[in-house]
Amino acid sequence: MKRLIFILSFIFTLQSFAGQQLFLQANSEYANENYTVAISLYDSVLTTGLESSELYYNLGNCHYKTQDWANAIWHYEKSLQLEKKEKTIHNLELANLKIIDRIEALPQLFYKKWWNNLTQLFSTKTWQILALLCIGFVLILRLLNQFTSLKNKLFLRILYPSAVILLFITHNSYVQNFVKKEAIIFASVVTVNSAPTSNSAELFSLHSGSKVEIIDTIGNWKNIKIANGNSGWILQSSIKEL
Amino acid sequence: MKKLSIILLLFCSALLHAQQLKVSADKNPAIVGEQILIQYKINTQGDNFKSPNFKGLRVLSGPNPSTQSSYSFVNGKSQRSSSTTYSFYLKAVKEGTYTISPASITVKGKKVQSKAYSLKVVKENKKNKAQQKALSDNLFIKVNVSKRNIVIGEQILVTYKLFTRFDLHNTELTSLPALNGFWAKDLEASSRFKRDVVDGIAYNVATIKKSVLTAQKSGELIIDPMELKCSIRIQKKRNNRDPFANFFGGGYNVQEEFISSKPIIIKVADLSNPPPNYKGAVGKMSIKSSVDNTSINANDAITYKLTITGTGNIELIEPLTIQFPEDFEVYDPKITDRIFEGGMKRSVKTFEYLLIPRYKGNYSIPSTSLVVYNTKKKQYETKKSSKHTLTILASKNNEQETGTTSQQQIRTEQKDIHYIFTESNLQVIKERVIRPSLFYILFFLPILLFILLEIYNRIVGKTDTSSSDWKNKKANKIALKRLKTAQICINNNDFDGFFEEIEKSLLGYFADKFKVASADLSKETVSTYFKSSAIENAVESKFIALLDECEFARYAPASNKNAQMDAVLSKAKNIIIEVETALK
Repeated sequence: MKRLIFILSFIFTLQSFAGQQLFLQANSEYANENYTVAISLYDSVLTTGLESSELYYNLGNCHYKTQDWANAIWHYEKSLQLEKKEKTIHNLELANLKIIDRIEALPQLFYKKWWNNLTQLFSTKTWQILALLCIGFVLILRLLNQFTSLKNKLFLRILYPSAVILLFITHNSYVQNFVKKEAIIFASVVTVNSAPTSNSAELFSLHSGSKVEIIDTIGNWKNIKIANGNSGWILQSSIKEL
Repeated sequence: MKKLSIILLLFCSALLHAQQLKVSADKNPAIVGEQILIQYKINTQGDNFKSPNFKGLRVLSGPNPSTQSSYSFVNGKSQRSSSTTYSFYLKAVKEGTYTISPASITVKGKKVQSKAYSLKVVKENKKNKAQQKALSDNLFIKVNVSKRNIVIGEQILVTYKLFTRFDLHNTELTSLPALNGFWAKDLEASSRFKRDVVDGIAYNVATIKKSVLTAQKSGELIIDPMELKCSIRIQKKRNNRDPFANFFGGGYNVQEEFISSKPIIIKVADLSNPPPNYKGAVGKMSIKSSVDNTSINANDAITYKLTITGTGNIELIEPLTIQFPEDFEVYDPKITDRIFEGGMKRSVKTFEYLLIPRYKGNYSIPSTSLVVYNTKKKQYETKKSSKHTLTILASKNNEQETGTTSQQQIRTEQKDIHYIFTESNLQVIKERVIRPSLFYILFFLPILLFILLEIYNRIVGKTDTSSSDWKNKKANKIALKRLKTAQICINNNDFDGFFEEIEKSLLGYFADKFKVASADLSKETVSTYFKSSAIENAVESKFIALLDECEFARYAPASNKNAQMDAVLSKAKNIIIEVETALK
């Protein structure tokens, strides 16, 4: 058993070492403005089974430099899924200026906005851990109250509601990051139909790089919704899911 | 007399026919390719001549108006006549019968129309063809193109040469070649004839036109033919009867001929994957930059000169984007060029920028790059100018440079993406979240535990709650609850109400405790109940004493009522607490 663990850990370090080497190599190619070479190198890091928000960010930059906006946006979004970084948000904003579609997002109610901002402060996993830690504390304090003379009612009074709030935040974060499916349009032009058939009415058209939310799937058709609230059906082949 | 009558007759006829527009042709039928003269004649002055529609015929020239007027004086009678002729030179390209629609003219406010004219054009006969061949052998335009397969932006030199063995009287360009998709620059061409021998035949050769064409789009571009009208002088056959004419070399006949060049197809290829900063420069160029002064006071001008030299489409190069320091005021460049042969020969283009540095410091103007497609090597070349470092000293006139006191906002005019991350903590791709099922189990497990604990406390924990302070608290709560209305009375200074309330509450309390109706309970009966219960006798005496005090207070006015009320209230409270703690 011990040997197995040793071998596994050895393989892992080897793999991560090779990935690290590729990553650095790709960085130098990027510095030399060989963006297509850098892309293939970064992609090969991904195929070794390693990932990081920085890796996706760098890939996004490469695609940005080669003016492949859809791919750039896709990778920036992917990077943001792993970690919310200032740099990534900035670059994504710039990439979004380059694409054809300009979708005005529906204004959110202020409390909803606050709630979402709060949710996006940490990753879902962090929220989950925080919630579990909180409830764990509550448990420990409650047990201390029960069985020892140590009393700390004030703490309990704070921790009880915060555990509940954290539970809600965690749920919201999970829904936002894992239940809600998003995609980037990769086809240069897509007409959005009113029903999942090709001869249904064409509602509007979208261009590559636009972000859509996937609500439903029927066969090859995806029911999508864009930030301004419009929705319709498009073919699966024209988008790439995040 | 006879003469007069004839003149009169003529006059009358002239009058009769005064307002007629007559149409005539010099030959009808005419031969294909031949020049036809059509004339419209009116015997008076007219204006506003409207040309007919020569459908299918080519108009070489016209309308050419000419007026004639004559004045005659015969036998004391004077006569004036004038006529106007509008002539057209036409050429038929195909045989057939053409109908020329009527022309019109306005004479003294009246519109006069001609008749429609029908012109027959027949095929040329063999003799004529041979003549035509002889003509095309001896008079033609040759087009020379330096290259036929080019890329976008590449330049070609096109030369039109006129070859002739005739005595040319005059040449006139009738149609210039339309250059679709080309940017053309005409070069100076000497139109003087030179002798040139082609295949043993001597020709007089003149360069009519020379242009440098720069391809602006890809595909098969056609250089349209150029057409030239040549007037050939042909000596008249000797007329032996006219010695003077023979002596002076005789007359000439001028024959007009139209010749045209052949259209030329140029294949223009697109450039394959141009680098992003490629701006369309093709050729062989180099770039150089210079600054007239590297050390200067602030607010003085510097001239930055960018010079592009070489061959190619230099003339079409737009000003390059140069990253001047933000603190420099930059004026639009002065562009001068000396282009030779439209760029086919080594040419120079300079961009002169006037810069005014506003603040002191060390600045640098980075090198500017120009991407040129080299057609010989078939690859892109990046030419870079040199980098300049400038030292700007403090301004001489101090009131201008406010220096440190006036802050300037940091401008971000150009937005670019941030640079890549150079380091990364690469991790094996795994679930980025604790599975919700596991999470909810972990979260609700403690809650379940609490519930179990609470249930346990409810069932088993009654004895456990005997700890004194827990009980005290509960008793206190009960007492407060019972004496709430009494407390309200104190606050309201309701004196009578207070003592009544205390009495009522205490009696009510004990009635509840002994489980009897409160009506059954009175000061007299209370002792029996006390004896039956586990409550100490001391409490009973205290209770009785308090009831007495209340009664007394109600009917005997006391001096310090408020203090008394407080004392009574606390006593009542104590009794309840004592009973509560004792009973538990």
